[in-house]
Amino acid sequence: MNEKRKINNDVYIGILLTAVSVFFFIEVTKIHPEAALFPKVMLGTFIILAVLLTLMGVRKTLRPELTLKSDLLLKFSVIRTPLIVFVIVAGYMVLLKVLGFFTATAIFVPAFMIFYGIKSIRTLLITDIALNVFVYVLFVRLLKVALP
Amino acid sequence: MIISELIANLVNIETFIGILVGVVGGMVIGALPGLGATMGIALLIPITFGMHPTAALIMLSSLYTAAIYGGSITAILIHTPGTPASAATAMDGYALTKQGKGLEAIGISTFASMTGGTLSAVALFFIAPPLARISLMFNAPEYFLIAIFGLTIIGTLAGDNMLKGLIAGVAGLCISFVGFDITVGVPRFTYKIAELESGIQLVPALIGLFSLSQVMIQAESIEAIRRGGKADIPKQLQGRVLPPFQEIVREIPNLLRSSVIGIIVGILPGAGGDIGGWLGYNEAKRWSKNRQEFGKGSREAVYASEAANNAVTGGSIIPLITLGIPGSSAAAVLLGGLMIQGLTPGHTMFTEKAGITYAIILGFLFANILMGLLGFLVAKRVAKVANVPTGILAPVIVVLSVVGAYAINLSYFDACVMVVFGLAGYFMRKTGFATAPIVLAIILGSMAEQGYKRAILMAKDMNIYAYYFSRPICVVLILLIILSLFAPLGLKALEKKMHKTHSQANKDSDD
Amino acid sequence: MKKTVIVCVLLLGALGAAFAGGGSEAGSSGAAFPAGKPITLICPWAPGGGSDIGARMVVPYMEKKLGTTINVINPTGASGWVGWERMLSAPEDGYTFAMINLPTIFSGYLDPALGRTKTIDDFQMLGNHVTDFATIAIRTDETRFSDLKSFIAYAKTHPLTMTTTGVGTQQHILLVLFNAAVGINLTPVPGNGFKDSYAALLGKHVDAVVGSVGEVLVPEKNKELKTIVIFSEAPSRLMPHIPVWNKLGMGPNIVVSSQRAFACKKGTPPEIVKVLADALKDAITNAEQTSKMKELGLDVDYMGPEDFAKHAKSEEGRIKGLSDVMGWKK
Repeated sequence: MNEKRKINNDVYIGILLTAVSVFFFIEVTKIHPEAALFPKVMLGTFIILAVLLTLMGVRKTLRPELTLKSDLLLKFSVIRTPLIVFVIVAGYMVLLKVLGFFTATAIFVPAFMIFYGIKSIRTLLITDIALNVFVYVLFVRLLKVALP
Repeated sequence: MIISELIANLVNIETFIGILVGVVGGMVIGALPGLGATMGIALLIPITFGMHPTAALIMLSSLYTAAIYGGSITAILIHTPGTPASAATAMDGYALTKQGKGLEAIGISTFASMTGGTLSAVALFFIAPPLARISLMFNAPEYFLIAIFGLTIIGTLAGDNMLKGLIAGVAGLCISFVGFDITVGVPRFTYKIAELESGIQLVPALIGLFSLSQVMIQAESIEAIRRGGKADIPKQLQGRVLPPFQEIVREIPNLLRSSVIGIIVGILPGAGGDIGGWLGYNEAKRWSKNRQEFGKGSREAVYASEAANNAVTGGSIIPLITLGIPGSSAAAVLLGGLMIQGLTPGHTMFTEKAGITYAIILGFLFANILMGLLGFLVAKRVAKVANVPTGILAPVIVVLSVVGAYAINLSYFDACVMVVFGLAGYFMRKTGFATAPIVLAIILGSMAEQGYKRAILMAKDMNIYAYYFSRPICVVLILLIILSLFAPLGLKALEKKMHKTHSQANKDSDD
Repeated sequence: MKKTVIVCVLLLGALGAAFAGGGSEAGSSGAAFPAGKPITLICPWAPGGGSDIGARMVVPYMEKKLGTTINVINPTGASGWVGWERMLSAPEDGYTFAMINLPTIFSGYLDPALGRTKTIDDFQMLGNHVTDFATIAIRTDETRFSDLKSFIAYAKTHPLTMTTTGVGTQQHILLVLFNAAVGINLTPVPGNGFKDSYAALLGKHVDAVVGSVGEVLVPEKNKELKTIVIFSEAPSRLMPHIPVWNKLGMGPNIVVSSQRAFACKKGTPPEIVKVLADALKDAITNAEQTSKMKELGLDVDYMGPEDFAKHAKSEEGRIKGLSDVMGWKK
């Protein structure tokens, strides 16, 4: 993490994107040639742009004054909480599969709220119940959607 | 004779209830992520079974326009486009909310939606048959070019890094290739996963890229959230709901232009509300004096995209009624509703069944006006959503996003797609990639590819370039594409020159 | 602050509740199977097309009989197989059933290039709804040809294009058979359903379309297009004036029909199959439904589960025999 400061992030992103696009470019050659035409052209473009991005990153590393504001957003201290949020959401998705929609949601909503620092039991309960009732009434009763 | 029949069809309690249910239901369904006009109409069709044809179709078409409007409410307040048609609105609408002007943005969107919808109803009333004939002049080669034209918008969406904007666009195009190829019928990039055979669905990808990634962005300010506050939105709501009169007068050209764009896009069977919103946005930016404001909370942008996407609704009903060719996917479901009612589209709709047809069109017109009035009425209450502490709002958004992504096709897989795109969208936004080009490219990718391939088959043994240049509309579109590609370069060079003399920063000189 | 939240949430809830009041009630029937639980009907074709309208026509009558809701969903792609694979991966409890289309369903697995393992034997038939024969139609203002004879003569010397609804559909099969029978080379332009084909024809972007009776009947009535031939065994009950290919003696016999039927997954308990099949029979033989379908050009042709399963098997054999013409190679 510490050395990252010196090399512009675009170098890493560029290399990653080049690798991904080359992989899919090889995959395309296995498809029926007529169906592969468009993907081939676009993935070819993708490879060129990704390489270009890497080179730009190198250039920005050498000349830091060219760095854009948008290049500096990615810091571990910043993205830590969002990643935890993502893990919680992913966990919710798993619960959904195992426990069914309403049970999973009843657990997820207060848990997520507590993570966000809401302590009032009343708020927790009301939000949880109201949301579940709302989804039940609108989706299950009215729109007749069979939730998992 | 016809007029008395028309009035009898229109002025009755069943029609009135139909409009009300359509408008209120449409606003709710539209505002929720995932549930859009298409699904709303499909779900209401069984209820229309026992209704009078006029009331039934007025209800369905009211729901259509109100759902497109409803989508903008959540797009503006919580950066969660309720329908893909409001994706363009989300950028500037949410930027306005962040400035504390959420209420004004809702007012703008309400006024613009009402105007766009009403103008499209007027077009439907007066010039439906000739307009429908024009729509027939567009086919595969034209759709290919329209898609390419739409892709040039990426240039305006890219933010401060054009290269990354292009990469996002190309990535979106590649995502659109997943699924079955139409001309040969072989699977591509599906890896034997049955769900991937119909491709990556737009709506889950959109919800993930816009709303889940927004929840993650807000989580960065966890300390502020834990203190019970908002991540990035000021607490107080300023401003008034009704846009100021002078502003409306000033925006008349913008509103008209966007509505005409919307109507035309609506008429074309291959393009729907999602594309209409983007094109309206792009043209507004091209013609605007305050171009640099776009993307950062431009009021003009909200006027443009919302007028255009609601104008699509009336536009897409034009070829539906006159020829039986729906102008959008929501209109396709509407066609089902029409046929179940025993109404068969065609010129008889304007002769034998004129009493029913014109009653439906007038009902649709009233629905647009009612939608606007209702919107102004509830705007203040609705806008309070932006004031709800993130700690409560975030879980609600997550749950509704998951349900919305799931409900379109009752597919758990789609919900997973939504979550994956959420993560991808977050990292893109953290590394300077705009997410809007991906959405645009997913919408336009298959349109471009299918149009291109069909055009080759349609050209028979003619040279494909000669075929394009033998079609007048194609020539016009090619000119438009060239113009939109090179005009900004010239303008940018000019701006840069002025910029350099004015300020010290040379940050824009990259790429 | 908290009050605002509560107000908002309650408002949303109230709005939902108010909206719910307007809707119809599910209400459970005494029968064990649906027990008020919603059932999903997969129609693997775009909303608004012939198949979709047909499915949505039957649904309300089935709902009444079953006392529960049936949700129609439209997962499209892979010439119907996206939806069918989905039905086959759901549990065999009868809560998911699908509309299936013959002969389109066969080409999804008879073509070895697609690598599909599921076949018609994985489906439990519930009954046939509609038998719809294929036709060829041209524009009414067409000057180069006016009937089948002049069409074929013109096609022998000029390249012509014709829209179909995609590779492997019955329309595509017809075009391949017709080309082979007459010795011409019409180029198929795949579209996303008949609406695309029809728009392309009217706009003079293609020279002719393949469409089934249900698709061409209404435009024909409106004098927007002209049907020149039908590929059925006997003249159509709905369009008796259209010449039948087999009776013209212009080439080897061709019969191409599209059958829209309903099926669930093989292995579903017989008592559940019976409940579904009976509800379907009631819905399809309902006089009101039949006459509405007729107005749309859809000829209701009910076959029970056993009859239809037999029919499907023989159709599969027939289509298998076409492997060479279709270019399905091992």
